[in-house]
Amino acid sequence: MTASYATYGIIDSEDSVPAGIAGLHASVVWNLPYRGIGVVVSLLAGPVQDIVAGAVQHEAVVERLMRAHTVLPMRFPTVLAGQEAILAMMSQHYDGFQENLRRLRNQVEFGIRVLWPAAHCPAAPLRAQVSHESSGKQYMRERYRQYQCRQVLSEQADQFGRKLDAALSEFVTAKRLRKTAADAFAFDGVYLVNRDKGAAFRRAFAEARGSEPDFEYLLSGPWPPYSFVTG
Amino acid sequence: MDSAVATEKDVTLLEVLDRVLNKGVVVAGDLVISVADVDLIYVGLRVLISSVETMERLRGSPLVDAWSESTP
Repeated sequence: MTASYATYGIIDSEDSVPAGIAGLHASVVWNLPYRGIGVVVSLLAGPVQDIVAGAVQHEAVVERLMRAHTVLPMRFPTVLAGQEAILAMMSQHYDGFQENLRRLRNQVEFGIRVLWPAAHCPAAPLRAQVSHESSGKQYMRERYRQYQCRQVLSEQADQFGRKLDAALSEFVTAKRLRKTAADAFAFDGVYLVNRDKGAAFRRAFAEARGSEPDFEYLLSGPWPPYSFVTG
Repeated sequence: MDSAVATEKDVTLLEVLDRVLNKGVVVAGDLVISVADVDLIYVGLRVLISSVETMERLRGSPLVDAWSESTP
């Protein structure tokens, strides 16, 4: 039976990976060299039973690799059957891997999410509503009030997004911004930042955040550059 | 457990899953799953899991459940 290999990332080296990195199912992780680069793999002894735990372990391996190498993280789960399939994959994508490794050398990713301030558009308490209105009218009135409230917040989010962009631009190599239609986030951005500028990026974000205290913020990173790997 | 800590962990996990399951290098591969008495089934995939929601559906799928039940 052909052995199955879990793949974690493409690295810019043929060297061995640091000892002691545990892969899925606590397996040994190693680098399979290919024309100056390598793909980091481990033998997969059985099914991935717990998708969440597997994803977290995958990320742990990628982050360990990131300390020593430029790494292109593989999407989880990518399992290949046999070393021939791995070599075929490396051959097929070699030029793209090289281009990505060059572009993402010494780069990390930060994520910034801005959450709507939930308390700013609270549902009106029933007691405060006009008693002679029909429930349908009350419902439509409340919907319209919520809509107007969101419009105001949306404009504020746009303004803050522009302000944030200006504050961070000098530290950013590339960015992907998304104004979300979803309720949870008013702003969702990922930033590619030179590893050496990570601390300055964080400070600039903290200053910008302080100028708009009404929103809630999620800053995460540094991550491997998941969002900036191109096909 | 402190609720603030739990919330922070939840947020971090979602950030991890959002990246690991939705982004990164995509090549043709196989997801290894199994049903009751059959050793392994290889299901070809390109982008099998495209979101955390999909992951949740996968966790609840009969194939994965069957494997889990057969595990000591």
